[in-house]
Amino acid sequence: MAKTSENRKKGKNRLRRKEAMYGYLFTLPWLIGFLALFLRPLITSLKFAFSNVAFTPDGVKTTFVGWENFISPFRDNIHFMSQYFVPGVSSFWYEASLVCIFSLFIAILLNQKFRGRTFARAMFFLPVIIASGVVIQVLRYNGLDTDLETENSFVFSSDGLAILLRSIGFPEKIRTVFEQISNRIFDIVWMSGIQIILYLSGLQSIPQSEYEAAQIEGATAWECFWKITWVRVSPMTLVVVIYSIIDSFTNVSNILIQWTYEKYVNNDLGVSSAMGWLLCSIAFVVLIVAGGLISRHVFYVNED
Amino acid sequence: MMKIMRLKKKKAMKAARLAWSVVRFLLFFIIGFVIIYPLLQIISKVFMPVEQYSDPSVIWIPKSLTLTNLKAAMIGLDFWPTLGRTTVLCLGCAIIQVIMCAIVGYGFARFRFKLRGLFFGLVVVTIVVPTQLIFIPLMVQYRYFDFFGISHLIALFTGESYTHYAKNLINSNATFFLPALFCVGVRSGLFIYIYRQFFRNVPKELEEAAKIDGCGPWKTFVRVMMPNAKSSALTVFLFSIVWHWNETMMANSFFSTGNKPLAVAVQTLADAFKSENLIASIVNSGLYEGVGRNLQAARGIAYGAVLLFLIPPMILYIFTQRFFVEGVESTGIKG
Repeated sequence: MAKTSENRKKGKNRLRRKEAMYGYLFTLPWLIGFLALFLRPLITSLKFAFSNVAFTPDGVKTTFVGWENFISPFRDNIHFMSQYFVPGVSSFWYEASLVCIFSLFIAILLNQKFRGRTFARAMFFLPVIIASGVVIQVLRYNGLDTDLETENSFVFSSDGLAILLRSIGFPEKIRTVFEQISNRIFDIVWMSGIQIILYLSGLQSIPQSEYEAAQIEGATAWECFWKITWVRVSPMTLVVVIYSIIDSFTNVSNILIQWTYEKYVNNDLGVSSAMGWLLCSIAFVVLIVAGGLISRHVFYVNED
Repeated sequence: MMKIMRLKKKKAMKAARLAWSVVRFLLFFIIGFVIIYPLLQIISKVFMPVEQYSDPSVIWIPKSLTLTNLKAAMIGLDFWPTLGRTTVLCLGCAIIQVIMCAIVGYGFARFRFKLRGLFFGLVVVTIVVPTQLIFIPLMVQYRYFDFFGISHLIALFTGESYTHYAKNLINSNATFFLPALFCVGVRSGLFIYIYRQFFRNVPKELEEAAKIDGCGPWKTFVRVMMPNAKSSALTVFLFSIVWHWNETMMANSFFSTGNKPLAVAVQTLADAFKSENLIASIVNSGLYEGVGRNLQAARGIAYGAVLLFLIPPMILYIFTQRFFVEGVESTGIKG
């Protein structure tokens, strides 16, 4: 009796080892890529961040300079802090929250049954297809800004809104917040494509019966939203917030990313890598904090 | 009495529903306008003679139509050869990613091994770390590609510098094919994630049935799992094409002038605002005869280039729109 169970155990162990072997085998391509084409350049860039980098005919020459690359941008340009660094690392705050609210709102609208829904969905997803850095760059810097002075200024620039708010008598602070948001409407709409789809898939997994039950109990639409929809999509909110934060930090429209790219173009690799690393570390901290805070409030349905 | 009340209530509900649908329509219209507006503007400006750009009496609809902007952009982009190169690059990367990310995603979804948690965490790290951080060292690595250390090994024996045995990959499609092949290419991490989510939800019975029929893990994957993952594969394929099509940062440094993909070429043309040399050469080609202001010509060319750049993905989107939206929904990044 004892022998057979031992044999079984052995067999199980063997099976398990076999399974693990296949697991490593299947993920091997990624592991090679990760080590050779991700980790190695990552370490090199860490080395760059602490060195003076120069291109010579024999390859790249680096000399260790300590924290110099991290300090010099702040020291050499007094406006770096206020113009690039702070906006670069803080834009995620309102971008992620606005995108999150906006995409949930739109997803709820798109989830309702109405004529032309397919068309509406296709339209909201369009930015994912064409919102590349190139197009945005050409539109924003070459098109929108210059043309808006003459046409449609009320829609996109905040001038119209600013005048309106001032005439009503809003305090300065609230006005600037509104202006910032309205200035960003274009960006927010164009950033939200994937997030809308994520929320849509979350909404569609909520069973209709829960709403029906709530309606029989006499719940209002407002209550239904907070007690059912908001709770049920909370796992998706976590994904959306994290996706939006990553997007905000790594997107080409991030001003600090633009700055590091400019430095790279000017062959100032050390400073470029240093700021890249600084941005990346801040992004990691933000992600961990945000993920931790939100996942405490996430509600998972036990389906099994 | 009751009946009248009920009727009234019904009427009120109907009115509310109607009002809501009007509000919804207006909302969609406004937001839709924000999305469509730039496209309309591009189309309007492309077919408008540049002289009319600063004409205050011309809004949206040009007084006369012209193809000059498009033709000039085609010259500036070297359009057809560039389009061919870019298509090969995008299709190649997409096909490689569809296959390789599926293999790795399956590995993460269906096999238990000790380091799985760690490995998958690292996959997420590759999604989070901005490309800006690694593409410069990568470029250096591609300049002297050492075949994952083999060149170093040979150099150790012969005593020569390893660069002697290294291959210059810059300017070749390998700079994009290699990372795609080893699942660290453009958004590969996300694709692995999508596949993993899909394979995790495939019923275990399918695999067990295959096992009983004598299939090993590899055969099970090829014969049973992959045919089932068609929808995920299509999603990955389409997204991969689009994201490679739009990629500029790495493409700009991995390819030298004359070999750059379309997105970079468009960017260069648009940047010509800053350097007037390129514009001058196009203006001198005679297409813009009589246009004194180079800047206006440059804007026309930029709009033309963007339109040319957008047409292929737009065509793809029109035909596959359903799969983009449904693909993300059904293979869903759920939880």
